[in-house]
Order: sequence, then C-alpha cells, then structure tokens
Amino acid sequence: MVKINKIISLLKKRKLDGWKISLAEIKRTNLYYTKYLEKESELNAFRTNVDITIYKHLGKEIGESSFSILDENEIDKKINDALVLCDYSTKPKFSLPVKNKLSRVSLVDKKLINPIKHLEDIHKTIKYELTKNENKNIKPNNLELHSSYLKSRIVNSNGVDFKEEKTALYVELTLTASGVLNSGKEQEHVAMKEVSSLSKFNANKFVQENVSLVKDVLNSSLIKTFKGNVMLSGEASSEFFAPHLGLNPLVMHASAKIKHMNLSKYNLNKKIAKFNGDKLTILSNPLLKLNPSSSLFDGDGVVSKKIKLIDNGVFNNYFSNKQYADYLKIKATGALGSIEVSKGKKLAKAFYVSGLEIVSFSSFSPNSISGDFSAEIRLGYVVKKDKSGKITKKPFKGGMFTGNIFDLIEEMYLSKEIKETNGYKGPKLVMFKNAIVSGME
Amino acid sequence: MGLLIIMWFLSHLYIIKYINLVNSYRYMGFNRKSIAITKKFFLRLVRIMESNSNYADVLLIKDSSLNISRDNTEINIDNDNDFGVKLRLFDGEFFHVFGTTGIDKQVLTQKAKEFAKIKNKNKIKLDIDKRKLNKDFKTMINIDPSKITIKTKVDFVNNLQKKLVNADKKIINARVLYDEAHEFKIFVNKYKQLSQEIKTCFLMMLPFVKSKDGIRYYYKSLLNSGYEVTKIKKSLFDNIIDKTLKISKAKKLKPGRYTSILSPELSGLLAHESFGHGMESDTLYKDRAQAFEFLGKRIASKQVSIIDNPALTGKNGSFWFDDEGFMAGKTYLIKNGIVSQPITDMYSTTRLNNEMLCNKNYKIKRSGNARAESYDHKNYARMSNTYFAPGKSDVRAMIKKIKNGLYLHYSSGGMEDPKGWHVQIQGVVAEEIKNGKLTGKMFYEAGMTGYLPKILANIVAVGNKLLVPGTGRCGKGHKEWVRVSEGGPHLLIKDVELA
Repeated sequence: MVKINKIISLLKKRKLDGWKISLAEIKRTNLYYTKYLEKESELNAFRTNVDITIYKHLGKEIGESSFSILDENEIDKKINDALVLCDYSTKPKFSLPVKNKLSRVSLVDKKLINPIKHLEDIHKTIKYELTKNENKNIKPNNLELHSSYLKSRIVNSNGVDFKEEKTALYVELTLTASGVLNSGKEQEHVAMKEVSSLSKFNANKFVQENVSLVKDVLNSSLIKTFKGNVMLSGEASSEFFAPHLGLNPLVMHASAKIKHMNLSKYNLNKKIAKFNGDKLTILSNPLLKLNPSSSLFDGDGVVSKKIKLIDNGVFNNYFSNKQYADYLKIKATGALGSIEVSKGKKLAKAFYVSGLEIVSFSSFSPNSISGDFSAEIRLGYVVKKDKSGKITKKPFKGGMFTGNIFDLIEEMYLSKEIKETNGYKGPKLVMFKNAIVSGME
Repeated sequence: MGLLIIMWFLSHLYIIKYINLVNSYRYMGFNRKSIAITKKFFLRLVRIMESNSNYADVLLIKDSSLNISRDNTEINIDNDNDFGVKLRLFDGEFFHVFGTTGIDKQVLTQKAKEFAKIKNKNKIKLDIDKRKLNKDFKTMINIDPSKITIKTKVDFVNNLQKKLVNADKKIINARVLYDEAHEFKIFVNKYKQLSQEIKTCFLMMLPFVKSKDGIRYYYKSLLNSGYEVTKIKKSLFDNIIDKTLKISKAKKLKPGRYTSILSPELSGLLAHESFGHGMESDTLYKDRAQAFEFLGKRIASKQVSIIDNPALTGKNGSFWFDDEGFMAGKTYLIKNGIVSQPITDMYSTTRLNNEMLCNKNYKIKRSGNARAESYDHKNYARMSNTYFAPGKSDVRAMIKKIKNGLYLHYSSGGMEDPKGWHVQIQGVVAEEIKNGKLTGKMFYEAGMTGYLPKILANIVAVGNKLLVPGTGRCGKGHKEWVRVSEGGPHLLIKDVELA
C-alpha cells in the first residue's frame, strides 16, 4: 500500500518548483447473474492509483510531466525522469490552484461501502418482480450489479489538500420478451441505471418500467423515413444532452481548452444559434447531492462550482481547469458536473400531437466538434392525436435519428417537467420540429 | 495473518529473493528469473485455493505506457503504470474473484486461504483445457522504442504536428498522439504457467479544418510493434492532407440506399458490430443473439467468411493466450457463408455445450477470447482482431462496376444489436463514385444502418487484399474496454442504408 504522507515529505524534500499528487482508492463489489438470474460471478477488488505531476519553472514557461507509482520507494527515480521530461514538454505559464473552501455535498451512501447484502436484496427483488404472472413472457438474460466506493485526494505544492468520498451503484438488466405478442419472435431491451445511493434506486419500479419497454420493443414495427416533430423522452432525452461517452457539442464548445485550440464556435455574450422555439439554458452542476457525476474538486484541486454555460441561448461562461483559465484570463471552474437544462413552459402532454417519440437509442454519440450525429433507434413510438383528442402510440424500432445538433436546437421545445439521472437534470421531454428520422421500411 | 508470517519464515530464502525481485519488477519490469519465481508463487496460490476440488487460476496484469500528445497549444508527456493480480475460484456453481493492485504476497495468500474454505457445490463441471504448457512469449520488434531517446520521440511528434498544420492554411490545428504501450501478463492454473509481453507503438494524426458548416476533422491512426510506426511515407502524408481538405468541402449525404464499396476500415467495423458481438459465447448462452439459431446454417453467400484471430501478428487485439490461459487461434465466425464457431470464455462454453447444444449435433470449441479490462474486472468472451476473409475481386474492378455509388472511407464507431440484428455505424465519411470512377466529392458524417442478414445477402464482391488497420477499443455495452482491431478486404455491397 502506498503511503501518501511519505510521498508528500519526499516531494517536499526535493524542493521542486511545483507538484501535485492525485490518489484514488476504489473498492468494487460486483455481482454478475446470467440468464434466469443464476449467479455467475462475485467480484471484490481493491485498486489504488497514485499519479504524480511535476512542474518545472513555475512562473515562466512551464515544464510538466506526470507519472504513476505503485510504491513510494520508486519515487526518487521517477522524479528524476520526470524532470528530464519537463524540459521537453514546456507550455505557456499558468499557476497552480491554491487552498480554498470545499462545498459540503453528500456523495456517500454508507450502505454501499459494504454492499453485498444490499446487492443480493436487489437481485431477489428483481427476480421476484419478474416471476409475477403479468411478466410470464419476459425473461431476464443478464443482470449486473456494480457497486463502488471511491476515496480520492488531491494534494499540491500550493497547500491544496482535498479529500472526497463517493459511492455508486450501477444496475444493468437485460430482458427478453417473447411469444404471444409477436408470433414467437423475441426482442430484448437493456436497462441501465446508475445512482449514488440505494435510496435512489427502486428495484420494483425499475423492473416494471423496463418490462413495459421490452413488451413495446417486441410489438414494434419498422417505419418509413420521416420529417417533422420528433420528441425525445425516457433515456433518450438525457442521453441527448449527456451522452454515455464524450460530451454533447453544446457543452464541448463551452470548454476553455477547445476555445484555446481555436475549435470553439462560441463567442462570449453571443447567441449560440437562432432560437425559434425555447431558448436554451445549460448549466454544469457538480454539486448535486448523491449524483454519481458530482465532484467537489477537479483533477488539479480547483473547487467545483455550479456554472451557467449558456443563458437563454447566449454563451455565458466557459468551463475550465486552472491552466486554460489562466490562458483565457478567466476563473477556473472546477470539475464539470451534471448537465442541467432549463425547463420549458408547457407540460409534456402538450407536445403529443403527431410525430415520433424516441425513448431509447442504440448509442447516441454525436461528433463533439461538428455537432453531426446519427443514432439508431432501439425504441420509439409513432404518436397520433385524433379529432377527439385521444392520443395513440404505436411502437417502432430501427431507423436513424440524424442531423446536426446546432441546427436542431433552432426549433426545440422543452417540457415543464424535469427529471434527474446520472449526469443530467432537465426536461423529461424535448421536441424538435423539422427533424429527420431515416426509416427502414 | 500469523500463519502467513510463519510461512514466510519457513521459506525465508525463497521469500527474500522474492521480495528483492518484487521490488525490482517495479523499476525494471519482469525478467526470466522473476517470471519463473512469480509463476511458482502463483502455483502455490492455485494449490491452496484448489484444496476443496474447486478450479482456481491467477492472473497478473502489468500495463505501462508512454504517451506524448501535441496540438497547437501544448505538448503533454505522461507515463502510466498499472499493475495488479486477480485470483479466481470456481466452486462448481459460480466464480469468486478477487483483484488487488500490486503483488502483495501476504494479501494474496490470505485471500487464497479464504477461498480454500469454499466448498464445491458440484453443479457445473467446467470445461477446462488440461493440456499442460509452461512457456513465455514476447513480441519481436524491429525498432525497439526503449532504445530511442525521449528527445527523438518528442521531436518527431513536434515536427509531425507542425508539418500537418503547415500543409495548408485551411488546417487550423492538428493533434498528434504517440503512445507506446507495454503489456505484461502471467497466467497460472493447474495446467498452464504462461507469460506474455506485448509491445505496441500507436500513432494518431487528427488535423482540424474549417468548413462553411463549422469545424471538421480527419482521422488516421497507425499501429506497429515497434518504433517503425513513425516511418510515415510521403504518399500517406499527402493522402491525409488531401482527405482533410476534401472533408472541408464535403456535403451532407442525402438519406437513401447506395451501392457502396466499404474500405477495409469499414468492412472491419461491419464484421465487428455484426458477427463479432453476436458470436460471443456468453451473449449466445444468455439467449441474447439470434446467431444461436443459425449455428451450422447459411447466413450469407459462399464468398463471405468472418474471422476473429488474436494470433494475428502485431495488431491491436493480438495476444498469445487469453485471460483464462487458453492459447490464441483463428476462429471462423462465418465460414463460406455458414455460421460457424463463436468466440468463447470457459464458463459460457461449458454451459452452452452442456445445456443448450447437448441435444443438437453441434459442439462449440473453446477459443482464446476470455478477456478482462483489467485485474479488477470480470472476464467476458471478447473479440480480438476481427475481419472479413479476402475474396477474389480487385478493388479497381469493383469501383469500375459502379455507375452511381459511394466509397465509404472510415467512421467514428458503431453499436451492435445481436438480438434484433440491426447494425449502427456512425460518422461515416464517404466519397462519390460516378461512372466507375472516384470523383473526389466527399460526404461528411453519415450514419449507416440496416438489418444484418440483408446486408450480408447484399454483398456483391469481396476484395482480394486483406488489411487489418483497426486501433480502437471495444466495450461490452458502454463498459469493459479492451483493445481490438478490425479489418478486411474491400466489400462491394448494394443497397447500403445511409442517412
């Protein structure tokens, strides 16, 4: 086990221009179940990562080099190597973060520190829920319950010494619907949820919601190419603003680094698009209580804060680490957190006129720079409202939602109702006018 | 803990040597002597764990890398190290897995003793490869990157980045990434004592260019076992610049069905997303892939074969043995149009053969595809180097055949749906083919989709030249990342759905 205090004293002894230690200790407890929810594996793991950054010539053109260590006894040699590397990696001057006051936000559920019993209870509940009569055509194919307890610490030569503890629970359940509904065919649906606390996960509700979705997947048909109103709800609306991988281009262009690289299309206090619908307000909120995307400080030791990136359609603020903040002469903002999107004026039901509603993508991975995207649809609905005001929803699957995000937001409408998931807090439903879904029929 | 100290004392000579070598690993990596000693220690752990007739294995993973990246604004140099050990025990019902950073003998021995108390439940008898083997494997390299000075490497990255930016005024920035990776593994069970050392050098070039619709980029990555990856031919460099500038003028593609030629990059991605994920044995066992119903049956014409091969030399997904000690080899996922063998891990192969295939005249063979992201992750059946087998057609002849169509150059990634057999490939960059010629007119960032059996049935011709250029990472869903490559010959496919 690496002794952090010994590393600090060794670094101090070397009288370096600047340094930073980043420590992460992760305890994982994972349960894996195969089909019919039979246990396949139980994993307990302990990982320690210690990364050290050495800075040379602070106040001038800075040399910077990082390395990871597994044993404090190897540090002297690694520092010597890093000092050599610093001479080859010089960059314009910037300063290191200084000591500051951390926000008090709870990110730990104590039950998830030793979670095995609770994970087993979740498994039991899910299994029980799926044995109910109304679910007899639904089969569980896979269940993964991942729990982690992370302790992180940042120490630097400027006196920063921050600690943070965080827990997370990730549940992945694969369901197959078969038989009765569609002439013996089978279709599957993968349900995923990540929370920081057991109190934010209701296993019964999770099963019920996703059983309903997999039944719709089974009953779905193909559609023709469509241009018109496209609504995103369910995981599709949160994935649109906060993709599983990478950043939404609306957020990426607010990065100080991207600005400094001359790749941002945003200008401060200027509109980011022509808004004919609802004007967009986007915040980064790293201080949401018990949200896995929250962090009290960033990887350099800058205290995190809630920051308005886009205000009513106008670019308001960059998010930045200390280095790029100094380059752009702005304040560093700390860690990027959950993406908060302002709510709209109308209730979601007002948008259900006619069009398509997408609830799940295979993967929504837009080009973070250009804003272009094409995402295959796992489940959607053809929505129709008849003369009496009755709304019908017919499920469909396949086809691609395609376009450019910067074009799409010009005709965007947001629901009044909001939801919070891992990494997203904002409208439950988003509607785009004149959007395109390329069909497969 | 006390018992552990006594054991250390009883074998103090061995232990002292061991401690010294453990310390030395952390500075210098493993040598033949320390490998042999570690294997012996792991074998002792296996014997402790197997005391109740359970199956046990031990895996050590040590990854280190040097990463130099540069763009207009800065250069970064990072050294990363990751090192840990994973113990696994199968109790006749499920696996107990323990992973920890470093190689702490006391911790590992204590855990092995805890595992030794677990009774065998005798429900599932694992299909274990009982062929004995004690061998060490190492990458053969032409130019060893450790013999090249850091200054030379940094100068190379700086110069290449400048050269990309200075090639044309429209190129507003460029990112160059050089990454040399060194992966070392030791696997030990009752039958196998194996080690492998794999070195790769990766180079990525990403020029950014202004277009009237905003900023776009071109992407080219190269991989080799040694520093020779940095020997970039002028023709390749000129091609990168040419494509970058063409992308700046690229139009949006009108959604529709196009006769298309898929480059080796794209045909590889199609192989990966279609019959790669859909032929993973754990996916099949969990009834998550339609391919199960087609085992031994025709899915495409005779000219279509898809292979997964971790034994292919010097590729991003290459290795000698998998994380369960099974030797790497070639697996035909589709052979001459017939759905053939899946890629496998030990657990799901056992269950597939014993439960789902026992009444069918079909048996799945084990392949070396059990892989974990790291020592603190579970093993799954995973792809390695996945590609279409070459056919007989010349790509020039294929282009000549097309009156109106597209050449699909590359894409940013894809996603699979093995149950529904739908495929998604996004970020496709295409070039117009008119009257049998490439016109140079590009289309930026289209999406490709379709129903897999239809796509395979629409393959008109298979190129005669195999390339496996992929340098990406593959996730199981959105997690469990492992290095893979993908490729193939050019494919001529009619009615490709692009949007």
